[in-house]
Amino acid sequence: MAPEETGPETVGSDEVILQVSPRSKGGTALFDAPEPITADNVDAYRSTPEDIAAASAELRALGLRVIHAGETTISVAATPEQVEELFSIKLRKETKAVHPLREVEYFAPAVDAPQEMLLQPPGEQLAPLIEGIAVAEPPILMESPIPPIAPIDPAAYRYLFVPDDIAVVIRASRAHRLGATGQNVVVAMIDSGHYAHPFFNYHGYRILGVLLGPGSADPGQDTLGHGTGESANIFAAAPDCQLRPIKGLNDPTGDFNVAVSSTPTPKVMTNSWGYDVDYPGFVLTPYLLTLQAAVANAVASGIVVCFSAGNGQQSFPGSHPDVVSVGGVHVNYPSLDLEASSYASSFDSSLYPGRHVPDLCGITGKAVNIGGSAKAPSHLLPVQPGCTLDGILPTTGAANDGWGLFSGTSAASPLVAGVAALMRAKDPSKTPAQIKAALIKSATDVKAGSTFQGDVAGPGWDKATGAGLVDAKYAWLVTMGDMAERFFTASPEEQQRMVQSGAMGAFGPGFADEIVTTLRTR
Amino acid sequence: MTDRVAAEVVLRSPAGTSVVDGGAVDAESVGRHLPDAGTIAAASRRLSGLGFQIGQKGPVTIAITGDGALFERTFGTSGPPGEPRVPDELADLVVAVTFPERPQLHV
Repeated sequence: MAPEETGPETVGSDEVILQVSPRSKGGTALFDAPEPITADNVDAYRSTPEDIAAASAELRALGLRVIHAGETTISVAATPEQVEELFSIKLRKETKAVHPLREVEYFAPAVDAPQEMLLQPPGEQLAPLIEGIAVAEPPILMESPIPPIAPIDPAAYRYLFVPDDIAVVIRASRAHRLGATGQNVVVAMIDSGHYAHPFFNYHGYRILGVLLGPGSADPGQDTLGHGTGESANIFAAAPDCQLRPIKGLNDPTGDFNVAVSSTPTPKVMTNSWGYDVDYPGFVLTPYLLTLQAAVANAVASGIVVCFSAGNGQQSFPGSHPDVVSVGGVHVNYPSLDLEASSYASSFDSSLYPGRHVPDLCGITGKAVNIGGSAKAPSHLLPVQPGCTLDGILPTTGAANDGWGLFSGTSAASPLVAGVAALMRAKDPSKTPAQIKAALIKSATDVKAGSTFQGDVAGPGWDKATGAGLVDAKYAWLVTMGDMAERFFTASPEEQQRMVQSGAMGAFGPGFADEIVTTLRTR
Repeated sequence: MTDRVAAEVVLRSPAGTSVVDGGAVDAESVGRHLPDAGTIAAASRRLSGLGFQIGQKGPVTIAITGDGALFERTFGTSGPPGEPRVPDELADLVVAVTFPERPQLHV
């Protein structure tokens, strides 16, 4: 059974976190396991969905806050007073160095013997459902700015590092060497938040203060890890942009209002989420109509708005006509041959007749089955240690190392947004529609593979990948000015004539050679 | 457990239309459906006077929070599946009140 999804949660530092173990299917409590619990025997220590649901309901009835109901334990938050009263135990505050530069305070049972730290369920209703309750201890954080050498899961494929591997594949490193780094362009991202992982500081990336969308709290925390990870994809494409994280997703319309009103004004936005609603017969709800307007207003305000197409979903607002709709292309190793990702969405919009998703693509993993569900573990990304995505399968070796392998179309949108930042830095006068057109015009054709929906990639534009994979170098060149635009919209024969006639010389010595080299290596 | 409720308040544009009138709204047409600054300020004052906490004000909607009882009293519901009714005292400014829907992340 899949864990109960309760969404990202933040935990106050004055709360006590408990791990509650509902009775195990095998009849032996996980606290009494006679042997180490491994992947081979863990099923005996899982609980039935019925027991998990019943125990969660009883815990809530006691006034405890259920953070996450997993297959082996339920995470619960409570005040110290609640714990002391319910379990007839005294707590004491302890301090632990979890990182060379960080200490945390936490509550622990005021007992000496380890066996006394296992709490028994209170009340007649809970006792038959629960085999024990442990007070959580903060883990030692092992995050490094440099990613771990993670084992490659036998079902998966070689993963890619940020920023370098990603920058090479989308040809951003070539643009960077020409000085195109997205300097001072603010890229806003509505997501689960941003954690100050040392990866960002060591690379010298610039991150503006986290803004809170409606209903969000704790701006320094990203307990899901998604926003933090996707930030790294933006910087792989545009290392000198300024990231504006907006911690939200409780109310995306409100999040958009916050983004558009923020200063300095964002020039690009990336959104790796959506609603699986774009099917025949669906009518946007009043709330989604407000979101439609918020997205349109952002574009009308001059912001290039990128949205992921979805991982099999038919996602709105990814299908809105004004946005850059970003699908997924998988990169094979070692050839770097491209194929449409079987994990990514492609579809004809029902909400907006004539609109096809995607416009173009970023890099996405292709679908592999790991742990009983489809995954796309292509990008190794920094996350808050111990967060949900730190523990996602396939493992990076530890669930608290501050790195996770995940790359659906969530990873694709920030890459295209980063490339848009390169273009806006080059020519701030370009409108969102012009940037979108140039991104599409300059993409690399993808001719193989098929998407989740079964659309097949082939030569030229296709339903699977739209125009193909974003090409940072070519996209940047396209924004060079009128002459460059004329050049890139010309036929190959006309392009050759322009180079030979010296018409491109206006850009200075070496520019024509640069273009020719760029075209030859596509 | 708290019973704080959050909602987005949709306001009338100077032309009398709004963003929830239905149909596609894009970058070209959205401006015709947005409230002006005076409407946003007036609606914020009135909602605040009713006891709601005002969050982000515009440009598209106003974010409000309040306890469930306040929402019940003012809009006749404190959350889905109930559909909020706009009371007469707000009807000249407010077109609709909508409860946020959470999206899916494309992990």
